[in-house]
Amino acid sequence: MMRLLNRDTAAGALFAAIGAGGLWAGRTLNVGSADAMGEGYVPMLMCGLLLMLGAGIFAGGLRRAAAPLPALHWRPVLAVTAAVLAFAAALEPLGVVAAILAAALCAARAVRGVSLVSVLAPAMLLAALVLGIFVWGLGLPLRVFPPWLAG
Amino acid sequence: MEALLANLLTGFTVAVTPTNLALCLTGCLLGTLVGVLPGLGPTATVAMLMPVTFSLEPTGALIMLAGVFYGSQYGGSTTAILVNLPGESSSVVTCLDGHAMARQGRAGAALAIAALASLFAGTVTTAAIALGGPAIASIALLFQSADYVAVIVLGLVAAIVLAHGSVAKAIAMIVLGIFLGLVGTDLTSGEQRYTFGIDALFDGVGFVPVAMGLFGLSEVMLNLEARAASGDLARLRDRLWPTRADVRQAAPATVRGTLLGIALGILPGGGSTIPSFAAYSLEKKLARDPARFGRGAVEGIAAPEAANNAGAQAGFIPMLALGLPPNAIMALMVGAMMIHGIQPGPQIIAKQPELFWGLVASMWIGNLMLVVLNLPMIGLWVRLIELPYRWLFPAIIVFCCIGVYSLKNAASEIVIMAVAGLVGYVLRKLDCEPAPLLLGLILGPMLEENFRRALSVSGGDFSVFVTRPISATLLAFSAVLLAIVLLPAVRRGREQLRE
Repeated sequence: MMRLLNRDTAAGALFAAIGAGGLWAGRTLNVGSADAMGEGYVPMLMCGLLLMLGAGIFAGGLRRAAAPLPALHWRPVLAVTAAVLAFAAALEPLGVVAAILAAALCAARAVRGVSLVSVLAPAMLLAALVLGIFVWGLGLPLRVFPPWLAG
Repeated sequence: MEALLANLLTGFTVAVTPTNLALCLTGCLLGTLVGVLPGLGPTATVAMLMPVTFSLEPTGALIMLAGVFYGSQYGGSTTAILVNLPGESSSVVTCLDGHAMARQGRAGAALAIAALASLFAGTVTTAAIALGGPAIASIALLFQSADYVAVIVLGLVAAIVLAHGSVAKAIAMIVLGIFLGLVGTDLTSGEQRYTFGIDALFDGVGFVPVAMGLFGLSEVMLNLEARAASGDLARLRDRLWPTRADVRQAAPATVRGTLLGIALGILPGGGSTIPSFAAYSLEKKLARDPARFGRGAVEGIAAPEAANNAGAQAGFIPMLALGLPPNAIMALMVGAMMIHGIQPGPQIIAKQPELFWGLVASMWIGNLMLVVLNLPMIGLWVRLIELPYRWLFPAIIVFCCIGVYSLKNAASEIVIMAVAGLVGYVLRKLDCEPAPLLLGLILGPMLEENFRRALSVSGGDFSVFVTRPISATLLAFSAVLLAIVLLPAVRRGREQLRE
């Protein structure tokens, strides 16, 4: 079991899965011929290549002892991703100030022992900075406050 | 020669207009400002600041972006020397002797040497771009579709050669990048490919959100988990200027580093990491007393700093002359040009001389500005380095989000970035470098278009790639390069280099 899971087998399986998925998802595309390629020709070529490369990397990982899987630290990964998604969700309906606040609150979860209240002041400072540089300085068309507040 | 002087004059006329000077200065300052922050390398910096330039006219935008680029490199070496935290792999070597000098209380001298070596390298490389760019472009004008396919293949192969670690993984990352580049509406048939009915994917997967996710966000994630190991900040106590003995030792090393940097940097996939490592080991071999290295040897800063600056800047040659980005940063520059409606390629130098020569001239001015402005500002940069990362990273995330959003004013781009960040984190954890993927993503559509056209012209005959002399030569060269990296001895060496 230890030998089966390492950085090479995992990467190989990932590539192969994407290749196979691409072949399957693109099965309706028109491949055409070399002198008149359809929209599916090059994608099929690439997916087939990816599938073969993935299988090769997987097989290589089985044959020799590759580096074991690294420890994944999901806390920062999930917190950062959540911060970005929160920003994306809040930006258009609620405006950039609320989006920054939402992102900062999510991001705070990345570091252990940071209280949510303690990020409020830096978040406001950041919001002021963003308003100054991007909205007023560069004139980016960003909604600043929720529409019902702006009236 | 006269033509060259006339061209340079055109360039300087463009570069010294007050607007362009101001843009160059702003770019350098912003680039240094962000590049100084620990854990943000030039690639992430350029990706993050690119949207700032969208509202400018094309020449000014490129001048500013180029400023951001070498500013961030300069900022990266500052952090490497003072805190022993390299922003990107190219400043790893600078840490060795630079931080050693800083701990001996000679941080000022180390910073000055790094800056002056970079300035020298920048000056020589700018001249090389001015001479080499048009020469390569004039050859490239003879290229047909098959030759373009061959050049792109060569570029991708070189990216494999110069990536670290497993060759198979690098190839797979490129293929994955090309595949992602094909998502969207096929221009020839008008058919949707892999869009799954999602509107945001109709125009394809944008490379800016992908680049920011792969380099910006996943970098933040990796930094957050590595936070425990923070560097120790060296104090600035002494005078800034190096001694006469320092200069005597550093000067020849700088020249060697510069030449090595240009030679390696012009190769597709070159970038700045390999040149700086190569220059360091060359100096160590040439030194009478190699034991000094790692304990604050001046050559150990001058040579790699010159090499990484020269290498990084030499990447502009294939980018401007062929439209082929040799590394991730140049790929971003190509993307920026496309956003401004400029198709990079050999015709640029002839058709838009102000753009090409203005950029070349402003590069030199920018390098000079960096030295003149930044040496007095080191105190300010040190303050920035002292900012705790837990305050910094939410700002980095927010800037990335705003930058990506402002591309199309679409929140969906931010979501693409989030996905790319997640994927980038996992791939990096599996020892797959993200740079080849980005290169594949950018070159993919170009590759498909030329591949299709070449075979359509030849009536489906694949021999067109080996019967045209240009294409055959380039492909043969690619094959040789690939064969070399696959040799068992070279392969073992690569995997050790990674350690």
